[in-house]
Amino acid sequence: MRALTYPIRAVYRHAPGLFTIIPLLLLWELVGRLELIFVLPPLTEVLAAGWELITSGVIGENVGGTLYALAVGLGISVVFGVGLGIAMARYRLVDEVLGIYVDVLMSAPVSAIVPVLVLIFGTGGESIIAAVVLFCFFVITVNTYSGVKEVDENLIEMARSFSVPEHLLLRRVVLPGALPLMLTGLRMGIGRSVNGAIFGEMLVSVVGLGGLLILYGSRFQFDRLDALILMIVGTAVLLMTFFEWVERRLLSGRFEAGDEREA
Amino acid sequence: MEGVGAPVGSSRPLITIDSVDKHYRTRSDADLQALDGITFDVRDREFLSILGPSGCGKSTLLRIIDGLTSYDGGSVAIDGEPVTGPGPDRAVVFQNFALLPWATVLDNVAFPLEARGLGGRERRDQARAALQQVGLSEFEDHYPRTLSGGMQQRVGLARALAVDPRVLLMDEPFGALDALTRTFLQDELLNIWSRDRKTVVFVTHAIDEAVYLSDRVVVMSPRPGRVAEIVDVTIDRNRGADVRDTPEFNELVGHMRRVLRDFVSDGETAA
Repeated sequence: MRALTYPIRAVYRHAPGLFTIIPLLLLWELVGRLELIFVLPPLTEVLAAGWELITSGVIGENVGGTLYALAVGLGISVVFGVGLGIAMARYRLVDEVLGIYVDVLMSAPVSAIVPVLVLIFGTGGESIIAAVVLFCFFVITVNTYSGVKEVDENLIEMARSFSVPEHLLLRRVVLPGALPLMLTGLRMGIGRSVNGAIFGEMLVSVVGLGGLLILYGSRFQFDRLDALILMIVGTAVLLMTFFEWVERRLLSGRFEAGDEREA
Repeated sequence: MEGVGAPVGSSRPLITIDSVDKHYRTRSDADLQALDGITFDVRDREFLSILGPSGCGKSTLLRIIDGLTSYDGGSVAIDGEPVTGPGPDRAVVFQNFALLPWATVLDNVAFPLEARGLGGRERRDQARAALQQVGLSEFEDHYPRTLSGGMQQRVGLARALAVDPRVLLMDEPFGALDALTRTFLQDELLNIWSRDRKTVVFVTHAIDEAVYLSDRVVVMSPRPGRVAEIVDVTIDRNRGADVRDTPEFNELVGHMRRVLRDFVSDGETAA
């Protein structure tokens, strides 16, 4: 009896997510075999198509452009988003002048704005980079802003009392204090930037992985389409997981359980 | 120990506080007077306490002396220079410790020195010397949250001592600590103070603490904050912990308690 239940208990303890993933994958295979939904070929066929896409070099040819747009767009967003977030939180004038646009664009359906980007940047890679920026810039800005606002007022006052200059105040007090929320913004930004890159490629100029999605969709090559979707989602999840790990490493020192001592 | 029986501090005023007023505007736009005509001197190398119930503006007054808060009337000057903002001649020990949680004990103490442009080695040496004064040398690599409250405040004290200020401003520094730790730190503070006798302005609401530590005690009344009485603590400076049991000590404590009790019962009727 124990031997029978052991694997179940092990899964329960270490990876409870498998309880839903495995039945879901089996259901996918079943639905595919029975040809119940035409966009859903059996999982095994999708995986085979994915393997073929990778080995034939199709992915390799197209992933470069996507990653490039992602990296550049994310880089721009981090540098300027963090900068703007800090400036808005520290200087009332900046907040009053620019805050409203950040608020509007933060909650606006950005996908509706992407077509406008084509008019500004043309149908080249710049538009896709702009789409990435549009998708992730504001979540990074807003989280940095909140992070800086949440820095302990007592610490800022302490720095003021010791006549600490602004640049040192930023480096030693404000940035470390804002770091947890800044990293949350960055993590959310990474997820959204993948979104922006694919959406940009699908809509602006049919290139990269987004272009392949359009291609296979229009040709009804659902095995390849589904394989590609799986790869894109998987990449986004991997990126976020990696970033969560980085986040934990960066913040680990300050949340270590302390050993209490008497004075 | 030097100075046994000697007159406490010198009589030369170092800090002159003259008719200082402070008003706050509340959210409903009403005017709230926090301080009313505060006038007294702090003598050079004297240990002076500001004692009063909560709401008497004693912490506000300390912040005004540090230059963190503005005031609406009167004048505050240190050695004849009007206070216009924080300066290198003053350092504050904060009630809530105000330590950087992401920095080690050593980096916390060295932080104000970094602000003054000292090089890496110089500020580490100076910070280590200050940590030695408060007896925390072994803990320089620890993070604040791994230390007890008492130890954290000793780090706060070391940080203030590290910049070698002329005036040490202490804002209810032991208010957040338990009674035993508090007594221990009071003795340690007196010990450190007796070595180089900096001018200390010490804000507290604990009567025995004020009497135990101070040369003089400024007793304040609340709403608005006024100076009610300035009491000379005439007890010999070479105090041991047992001084708390002497009639002189208890007479002073009793006197201040009666002064303060009147304010509290006046202000908070049937509370």
